[in-house]
Amino acid sequence: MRVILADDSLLFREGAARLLSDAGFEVVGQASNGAELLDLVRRAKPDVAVVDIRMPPTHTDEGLRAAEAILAEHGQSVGVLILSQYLESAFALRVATEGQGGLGYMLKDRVSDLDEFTEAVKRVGRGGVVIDPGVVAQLVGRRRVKGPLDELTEREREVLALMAEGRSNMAIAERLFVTEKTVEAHIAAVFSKLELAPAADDHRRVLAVLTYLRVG
Amino acid sequence: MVSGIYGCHDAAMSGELRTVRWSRPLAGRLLSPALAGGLAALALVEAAAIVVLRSVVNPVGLEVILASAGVGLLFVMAGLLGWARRPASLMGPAMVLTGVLWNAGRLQGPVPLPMVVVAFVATSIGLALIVYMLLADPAGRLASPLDRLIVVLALLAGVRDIPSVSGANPLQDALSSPAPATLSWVLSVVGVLTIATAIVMVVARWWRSSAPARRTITPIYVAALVVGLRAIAQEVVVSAGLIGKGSDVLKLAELASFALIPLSVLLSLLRAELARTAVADLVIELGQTPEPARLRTVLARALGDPGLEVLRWSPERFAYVDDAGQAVEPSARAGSRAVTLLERSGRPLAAIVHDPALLDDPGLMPSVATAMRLEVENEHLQAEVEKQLGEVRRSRARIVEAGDAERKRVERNLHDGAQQRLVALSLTLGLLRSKMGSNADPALIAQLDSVSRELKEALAELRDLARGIHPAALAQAGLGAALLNLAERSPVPVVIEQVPQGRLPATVETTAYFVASEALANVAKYARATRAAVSAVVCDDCLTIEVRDDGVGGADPNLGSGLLGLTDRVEAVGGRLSIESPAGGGTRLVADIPMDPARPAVAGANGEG
Repeated sequence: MRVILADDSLLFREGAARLLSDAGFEVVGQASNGAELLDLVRRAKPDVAVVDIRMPPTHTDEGLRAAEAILAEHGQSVGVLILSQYLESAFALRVATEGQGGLGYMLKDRVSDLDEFTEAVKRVGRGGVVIDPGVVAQLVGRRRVKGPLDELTEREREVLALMAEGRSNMAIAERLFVTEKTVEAHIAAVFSKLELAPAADDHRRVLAVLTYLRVG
Repeated sequence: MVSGIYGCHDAAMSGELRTVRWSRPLAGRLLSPALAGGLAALALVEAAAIVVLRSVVNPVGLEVILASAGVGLLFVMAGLLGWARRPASLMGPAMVLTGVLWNAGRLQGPVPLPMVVVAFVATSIGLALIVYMLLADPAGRLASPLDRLIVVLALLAGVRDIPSVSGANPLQDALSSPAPATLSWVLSVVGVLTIATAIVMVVARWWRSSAPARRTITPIYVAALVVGLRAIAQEVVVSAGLIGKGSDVLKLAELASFALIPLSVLLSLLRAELARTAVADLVIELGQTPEPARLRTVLARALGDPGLEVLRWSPERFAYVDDAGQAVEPSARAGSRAVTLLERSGRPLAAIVHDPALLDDPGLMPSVATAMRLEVENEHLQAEVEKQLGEVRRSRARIVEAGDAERKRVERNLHDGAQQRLVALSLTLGLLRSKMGSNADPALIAQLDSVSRELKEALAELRDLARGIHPAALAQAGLGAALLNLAERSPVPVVIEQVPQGRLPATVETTAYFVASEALANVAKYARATRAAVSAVVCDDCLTIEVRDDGVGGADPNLGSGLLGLTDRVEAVGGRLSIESPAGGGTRLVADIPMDPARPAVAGANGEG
């Protein structure tokens, strides 16, 4: 899998590049800001771009904007994994809302968890959605006035969180050591209890669940 | 008719008031208490002598004698008062002299001939002086040759008129022998014509006078009119032979009309006194009317000078400016007007362009000056305070903005420095860990995992610290996202009801964020609430952020530095913070934050603070 890294910290880029190379990825380029990244994506045609959200010149959300530009320009062919030192549900929602998938939003610290990081890169590269478990945990764990969420069982809540992270039914089944059929049953129960319309695919499901968690 | 206009610039300093007047003081301050006492005593002695001498001779009734002496005394009294009040005018001394001479002229009877001659001369001069006083300007000068001619004729008429009082006129006796009837007729005609001309001139002068001048001269001119008309009437009546020349009725009428002159002077002085009182009221009235144009109106009314102008000194332009803001050189206005300059410690404050007649009362303009100085100084102070308040407001807003910028900078340094390095370090550790594989020393692996965990915790703590310093979400995604983030982290359920869609000025977003953050922290700590709600709504030129809960209430903004600090924070950017927190009724905190700190929000409940 061909990967491009974009971050204004050389130290981080070099470390991440080595880590990904060791894990069998082909790092085809590095960029230190949004403009360079867009240029590089056009030339190197990577499968995934791993992008820091805060880059020069404004140090706010250049990474996210570059990701949106890449999606607009290259569609599903290039996945983008956005890394950030802070988790904002607003950005998670923006990521879930964008396009047809192939987009991820992850806490930068998680890069040191080799498996989690490489798995996220792969999922984005395959056109999936990745939402950091931390954002989901914050949304699920958020104190709220009594509502439908309180009706969910412990297992149903786990399934809800994993759905929100963008995982497929199969992945959820693997995680929870249950069959896909059981997962499907849980998901149906969750949607019915939360009065959500069944979603057509994984990334629509992420959006529906995140929106519910955020607003509800 | 304008009095005392000279080319020279004669500035007289009196305290802090500098009066630029185009006239010269004539009588000056000649009057001393000793002189006044002496003149008064002389008049009294004369009066006593008249009563004694005339009682002996008794050619007329006692009431005529008493009235005759009384008129002289009245002249002396009014003259002394006028002299004291208007030292610059010759009127006072002239009146005193008239009184003294008048009484000297009544010293008739069994007295030696020289004394009789003195009495003749004194009576003539006294009468001429009366005419002079009526025709002279307030400064005591005769403006035209005609004025002077009339005074001379009055002098002659006085000589002719003596017998009407004395009954024994050697001069007339001498003149009357050749053709008494003809001469008497000629003298009568000349007298009537003189008096009529004098009346016309007095009326014309009154007509030409400015309003403030009329205020002073009207009583005197009315008296003059009565004297003149009475004299003509007497001339006509006597010539027609209707009443005998020596009749008591005529004498009493004559005395009464002359008595009107000192009485009118007293009235005029009284009116001037009242004008000063009006000026004293000015201070009070000015205190209630701060507008510059009103100052002119109020002054003009108090002084009875509709053409009065107030020129303020503008230190910025280094010039006097009128109400329209045009720079004006006061001396350019001085053509027919007087200018009074107001100063304070040598620095100009204002110039009043007014009728020169207002200077006739030397006490008037200083009173006005005092009132004006208070007012102008008050205005200066107010402007100064406003200016300083504006500066303080701006500097306070700047301090807050600088503080925010500093927080942002610290957060950025943390993000790009320590946090970035720790993330890279964590990444290297992960790399190391993956390289070791499963064959490595388990103790070493455990140690490495422990270090990695510690590092992650350190990163998490650093992240919270940085978020507290300045939330990245605010800069990255705006107030709405940052408020949602606050709500997600709050231990009390928080509903975000409304957030602004677009981005707002950084100071507004930051202030609103800290208001919500502090308020929600208080809700969690003290309110014992089951839920809270936050709404942020953009109004005309401000953002209104509201945080309410259903807790125990009783929050006091004066207790605890949290709310007080929040109030300071909001007011520093020109906003208003209000808190409603009845015991047991929950707490509602509302902050109005202006988009532009220079245009402060006006909160309905708080008003000006």
